[in-house]
Parts: sequence; C-alpha cells; structure tokens
Amino acid sequence: MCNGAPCNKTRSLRIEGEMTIYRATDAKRSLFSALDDACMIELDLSDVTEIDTAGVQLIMLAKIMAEAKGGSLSLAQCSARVTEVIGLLDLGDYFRNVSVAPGEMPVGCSARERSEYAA
Amino acid sequence: MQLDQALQTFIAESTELLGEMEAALLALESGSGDPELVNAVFRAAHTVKGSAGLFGLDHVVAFTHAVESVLDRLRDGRLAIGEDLISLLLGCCDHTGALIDIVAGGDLSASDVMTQQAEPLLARLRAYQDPETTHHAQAQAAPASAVSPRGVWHISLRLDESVLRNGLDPLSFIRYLGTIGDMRGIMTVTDALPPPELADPECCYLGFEIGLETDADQQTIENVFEFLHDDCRLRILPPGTGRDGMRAFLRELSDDPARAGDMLVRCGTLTMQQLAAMQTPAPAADGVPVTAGQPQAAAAPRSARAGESVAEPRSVRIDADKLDHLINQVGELIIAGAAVKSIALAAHLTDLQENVSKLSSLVEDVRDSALQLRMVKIGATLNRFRRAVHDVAQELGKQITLEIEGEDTELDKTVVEKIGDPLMHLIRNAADHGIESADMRGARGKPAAGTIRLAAYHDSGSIVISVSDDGNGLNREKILAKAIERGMVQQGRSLSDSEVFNLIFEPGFSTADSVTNLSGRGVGLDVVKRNITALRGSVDVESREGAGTTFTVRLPLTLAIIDGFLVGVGKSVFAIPLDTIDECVAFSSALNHRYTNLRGEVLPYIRLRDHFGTGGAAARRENIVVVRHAGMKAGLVVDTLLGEFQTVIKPIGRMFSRIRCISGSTILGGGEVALILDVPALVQQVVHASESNMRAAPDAVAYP
Repeated sequence: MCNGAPCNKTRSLRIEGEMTIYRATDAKRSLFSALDDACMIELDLSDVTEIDTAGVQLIMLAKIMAEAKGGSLSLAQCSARVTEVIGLLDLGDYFRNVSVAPGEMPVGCSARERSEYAA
Repeated sequence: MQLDQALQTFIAESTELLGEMEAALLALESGSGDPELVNAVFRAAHTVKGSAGLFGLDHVVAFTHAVESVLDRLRDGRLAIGEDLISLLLGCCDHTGALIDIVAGGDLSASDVMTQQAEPLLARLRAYQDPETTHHAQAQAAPASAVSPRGVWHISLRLDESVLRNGLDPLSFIRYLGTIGDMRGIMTVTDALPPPELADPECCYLGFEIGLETDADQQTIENVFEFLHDDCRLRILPPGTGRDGMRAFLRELSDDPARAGDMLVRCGTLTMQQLAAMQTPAPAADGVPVTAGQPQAAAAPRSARAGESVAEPRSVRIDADKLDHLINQVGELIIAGAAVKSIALAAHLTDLQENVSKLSSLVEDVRDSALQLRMVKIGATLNRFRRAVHDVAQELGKQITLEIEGEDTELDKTVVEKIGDPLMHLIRNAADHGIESADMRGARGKPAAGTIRLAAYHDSGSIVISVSDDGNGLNREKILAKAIERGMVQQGRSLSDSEVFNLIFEPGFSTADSVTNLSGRGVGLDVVKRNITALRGSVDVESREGAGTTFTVRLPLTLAIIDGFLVGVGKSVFAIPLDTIDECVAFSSALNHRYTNLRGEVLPYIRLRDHFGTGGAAARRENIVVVRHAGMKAGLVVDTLLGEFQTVIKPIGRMFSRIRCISGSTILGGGEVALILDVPALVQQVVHASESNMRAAPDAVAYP
C-alpha cells in the first residue's frame, strides 16, 4: 500500500477489449485498485478494441489520481483505435509519452497536427 | 442502448424520412409551390446524411451530400424546380433507400455495384451544382456544403453528465465534425472533473473546445450536434466575429477571459496576434455587430426545445412480435374468462357471477386497447401509391392525378402490411388499362388528366378501400366473348353485369389487346382476389363503359379477436361476427321457400342445418339471423340464439382450407370448438342462389 506518501512503486496494468461506458465501472475499479498499491502506473492498451468518451475520461481520472499522489500514469502501448481517439482529441501531449506507430497517423486531426506527429 | 439498436433506429428513421422526402417531391411535382416542401426534402436528406455520418457510413454520406448540396441551392432559390430535377431527386431518393437497405442487410461498407449505380445520378446532380461545389465534391469524398465563406469557426461543447448513459458518445460527433471541415485544433476541457475517487465513471464531465475551418454555415454545424442537443451546451462563434462579440464569447466560456483566449489560440481559432489585438482596448470601429448576436442565438434554442418536446406527440417503438404476443395472451385470457363465466353460471353463486362480469368487462377493455395498439392509419400506405402512379404515368406518357380520401381510417397493422401489393396491382391496372391516352380523353370530352381515386372508410366491421378511375370502363361484350371463347361461360346464358365483370378475377383472364410492361399478361387480378380472400376480405368491381371502373376491396378490421354472436344448430354451435348482424327475428315460413317476408321486404335465407349438413330435425321454434354484407341482406336460419361471445379467431387447419363459408374457429368457455361463419361468402351464396332461382322461375311457370 502506498496511500498518502509519494512512492516510486511501478505497476503495469493491461486492459483488454472494450473501454467503453458498458465496462467503465469495472475498469475504474481495476485502475483504482492498481493505484492503491502503486503510484507509477504503466498502462498497456495494445489490446483495447474500442474506446469511447467514458474510456478516455477514465484514463484522465486515473492520471489525475496518480499525479495527486505524486506518481504518474503513462501509456506504454496503445492499440490503433486508442491512438486514433487520442489523436482525434489531440490528447497526445496530455498523455505525453504516447507512442504512435509509424504510418499510423491519427485520423481526424488537422494537417498541422499531422505534420507535428510526423516530425 | 446498443449500437445495433441505434443502427436499427437509424434504418427505421431513414426509411421514414425518405418516405417523407418522396411525398414532398411528389407534392412539389403536382404544382404546389410551398417553400416548406423544399425545406422538408432538404431536412430529410440532411438528417439521413447526418445520422449516416454518426455510424461511419461514408458512402451514404458522400451520396446524400451530393443530393443535399443541390437541394441547398434549390432552397436558396438559386435553382428552379422542374420536372427533370424532381425525377432526378426521386431517383436519388430511391438510391439512398437502396443504400439503406444494404445497411439493413448488415453490410456497412460501400459496394462497387451501388457505386456504379450512383454514378449516372451523381453526374446529373453535378449539372445542378455550382462550379465551385462541383470542384469541391470531386476533390473530397465527404466535403462540406458551400454556403458561407470559408473561415475558422469556434465550437465550444460542454457535455451534461447524463450524455453517456443516454447512449450517446460525444466522440462520434467530433469525428463526424471532421467530415464537414478541417479541425484546426481541439482541446479537452477537464474543469468539471470531480476528485477522481468521487467521479462516477458513467457520467461525463468533459467539454471540448474545437477550432473548425469550414465553409459550412452555422446551421450545418449546429446540426452535427443535433442529437446531443438535450445533453449539452453548445456555443458557436462564427468567423469574423467582432471584438464585442468575441469578448462576450470569452466571458461566457470561462470566468477567466485570458484563459479562454488561450484556448481559442490553442484551437487555432485565433492567432496570438488577433488575441493580443483584441485584448488591447481599442475604440476603433468594431467588426460586424450583426454576427455578434449569433453565439447567444446558438445557445438559446436549448430551452426553447425543451419546451417544445413536451407538446410533441410522445411515442415508443415496439417490436411487432411483442405486440402479437400480447394479443395472443389477451386471446387466451378471453378464452379462460369465458370458461370461468360458464362455471360461475353453473354454480349459481351470485357474488361470483357479479365479479366475473366485472372482470369480463375489464378484459374486454384490455382487448380493445391491445387491438387499438395494432391499429395504424392507412394514410401512409395509400400515400406510397402516389409514387407508383407518378412512375406509371411517366412510363405510359399519360397524365394521371391520384386523389386520396380517408387517410385517417385505421385498421390492423397486419392487414395494412398485406394489402399493399393487391392495391398496388389494382392501381397499376387502373393507370394502364383504365385511364385512356390524353388524345382519346380529349375525343371523349374528358379532361386530359385522368383521375384515380383511392378512398378508405369503415363499414359494418370492415374497412372498405375503393380504387376508381374515370377511364375506359369495362367492355361487357368483350369480356363475355372472351369468357365464352375460353369455355368459362355457356353460350346464351344470361348473366348480370356484375357477374360478367367479376369474370375478370378468374385465373388467366385478360382482355388487354396489348401486353405492356405493367399489366395485361393475364397474371394479376386472380392473384389480387386470392390475396384479399386470404385476408378474409372480398373484392368487387363495378363499371360503366366509357365512364370508369371502381374496384371495392372489403377487409375485416382485425385478424385476431372479434365480437361474435353464438347460434346453435342441433348440437353444433356457430359464431357469427356481431358487426355483420342486423337483427334476429323468430322464423316462420313454409317449408321449401327460399324467401321470407321481413316487414314487407323480401329476404332470401338459407338453413344452416341444410347448408352444413348437421342433420337432426329442425327445432320446433326456429330463429332467423339477418346478416348484411356489401349492401346485401340475407337470413340464416338457426335453432337457438345463444348470445354474444368474445371470439378469439383461431385459424382452421390447412386440411379444411377449402371449406367455404367458414372463416375460422374459436374456443368456447366449456372448451368446445365453434366454427366462425364467413358471412360475406354466405351472403353471396344465398343471394346468388335466389337470383338464379328467380331467373329459372319463369321457365318453370311456362313449362309445368
């Protein structure tokens, strides 16, 4: 447990399948229980097939929670779908170390952003 | 709400919208200059496009977009409506319908066949587009409609907490927004997020600030978020808004205008310089003040809409199967109720009888409400024929107007679904064979445009739909000659007009001299008759040569439960639909007559005992039930009158399907089966038998 005091325990958490409103409550439970015993969370979203607004919001909440505890949350790997949504909402900077696979330019962002991604 | 369900709703709504679009186009064609019609067509195309975008049906979006941009020009008065344009738009309407059908079939992607089919339509549409849009349409698959000058709009979206629970995903709207323009930047606003532990993951706390470079107008942008309207606060800042408008917008956006300004810069709506220029107080002439009001206008409709929705008719879509299930259950309830009633009567318990009768009146109410649920107005079905008449008229080069009466007449949904094809056939028949060419009409002194009338009304427990035309009329001699040639009628037999005319319902009978694409191949009217008979209905024809023909279709209002009247013949019990009964009187007549005297009126009758061969001796006191169908009266002689009974119609097995004069069976309180009499068939048989008897009678007198 690392409630309260900053710590540097890292845990990686893998989420599979849908990250949507239908599974938001479950996903929140597993994310927050991971945050109970570690402050540095690495999320592996490479097998997330679908993500909606609820899913994005949940990752944001977890990130805020982790940072409130002095830790951090990073996205280690993202599926194409997650990358697309993060690109669409221009949240790449927000989640900082999001990795965009080469050739998989996020759909829906402007030419300016695309060139930024390419750079 | 699942995506599948949403897609089903989309398909159902699109089909409805396309129907409305078609109706509006046809109304436009018939010369109505109502600008609201053009708007209706535009709205339909636009909504289909918008919803298709939500489901990522890009091929539907691309096609409807092309249609929409032509409609847009039409709406602005930059194009004049003409016959050619209307038939093109009807074609587009059909093609969109075909695309939706494919989606309904489960294939969400574009198919090459459909793309090829769309090509000639798109080519014709391009001729109506202005050069600028045409260029745009070719450059991009799903371009924006060109109305206002291109500029950067700012869209501020704050979502209500309930939006996700309502089955809406704001992401898909943002994704769709990307198809009407170029998203310069987007910012996710997290100000409203509660502390993470307290946040409900099913609530939405986010907002978005979006800079969108597009040449679409404000309406188009607002429409993107149409489905979100009740679940969000939407503010739109048009490009070129003046300093005051901009300031008001920033103040609305956030308590800290500087931060709001930053957001606009981040979204690419403003450049740093523009923001800086705005923040320095400069009394110089402002931008256009007219546009300053627009952001507020964009935010205002929300409350207005909330008020409107209360007044709107509220409806729920129900699976038809569920409804059928309910009606079956009500049917079983009635049968069970009848059983309880007969036991109560036998037990001589007054209390029980009282309560049972209270219960059965409630059950009757439930039955009526359940059946009422399945009642639909026939108008939608009848209006579909406008298109058919339009197409046939064009194909044949005739002028035909369709008049529809009694659109509000209600009947059972299952009947409505099945009546479409037979009616379509009758209408095509009227257009093809009934209405003469314009020249011939002129020669006969009729107006050049022929008229087909469709009328629906209720009449003694049935719905009557008549299809009449003011055309040729039937040629009695020709039909008779043909019938004799085919051996259907013996030479020299005298037939009444109606008997002759009804010959056209015989299989393989056609008097058409020329076979057209539409009808006249001898397949048809017999099928029409068979289909209508299968619905327990009947079809009749009346005609005056040179003046027109009227087909009258009679159908029962419902196929499930009716009020019946029970009669006994020997040991058998029969049910007669109560709506068809005029009266019951004690019977008195000499043995072998076919008529009786009903208050001075001649009433042909039939003894059910003889007709169904139930056997046994006639009771000492017999009764006669006077039934009526299609304006004819007949008497049915029975032993006893047993009273009213809720009759749940059960189909009789296929083995008995050839038995005439019986339309079904029902189960009585004691569990016995009673047959339901097919009154139309019986009446016809009685009247026919007595007519031929009348004709035969003079001979009998002459040669004793």
